Amino acid sequence: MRIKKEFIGSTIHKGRVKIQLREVVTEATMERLKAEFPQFLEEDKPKKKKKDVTS
Amino acid sequence: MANCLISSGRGHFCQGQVGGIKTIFLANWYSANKIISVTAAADTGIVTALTQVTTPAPTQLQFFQFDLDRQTSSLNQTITTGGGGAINYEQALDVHMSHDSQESWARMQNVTEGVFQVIILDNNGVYYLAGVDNGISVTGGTYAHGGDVAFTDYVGYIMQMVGSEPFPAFNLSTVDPFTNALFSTEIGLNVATYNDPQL
Repeated sequence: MRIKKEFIGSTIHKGRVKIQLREVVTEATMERLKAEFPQFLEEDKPKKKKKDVTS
Repeated sequence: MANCLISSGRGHFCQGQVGGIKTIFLANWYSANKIISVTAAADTGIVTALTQVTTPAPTQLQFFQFDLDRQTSSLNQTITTGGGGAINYEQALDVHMSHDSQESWARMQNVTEGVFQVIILDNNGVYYLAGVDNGISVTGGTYAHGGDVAFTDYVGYIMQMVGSEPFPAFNLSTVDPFTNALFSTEIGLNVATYNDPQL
């Protein structure tokens, strides 16, 4: 999972807590986001495989 | 690294703002019916998302509009810091709604006794969201009559509403939050209003 691009740079304010949405977040933050704020997350896009060059 | 490091100065702003608030929108505040978090851009402050309670599955949080008397109502945010690193923003509204009526007599009691999340429209056209964490409630005021004597004295509802929050009221921009696509699934404006005079 990763944070949606449009929310990167934002801060979630909940109670007294600020959760900063950066491109890279700690595992604990990601777990919290998965549990409480899944709407800010999206699946990682699968990396494109390099095509074998056949001659 | 601390999350409170400044990264920009602040210049002089040209004249062009006015004081006061013109409208408040109240939403009933209880555990199954409230916004629980606000997401804002760290640098611009633009609110990009509101999140409601997730259980039970949320419906649009309904806000009700209360028009205020001109140039009499205010929002006052007081910063209080403690020696132990504590900080608190008291969000105080002083709202004036002139005229009494039978319906006001009945309905304003619920305003007096309830707890609310509040969207405030100021006279610059900026919307603020207050009372997110703990709600805002009435702490004092006068109910319809406040010692009026002369024919020209004020008759109406004057209420002080106070909340205590970890963050200042969120700036929702000048875009009407009830038509803003960013919040369309989270909040809505209930069109129910009354303005009947005394029967």
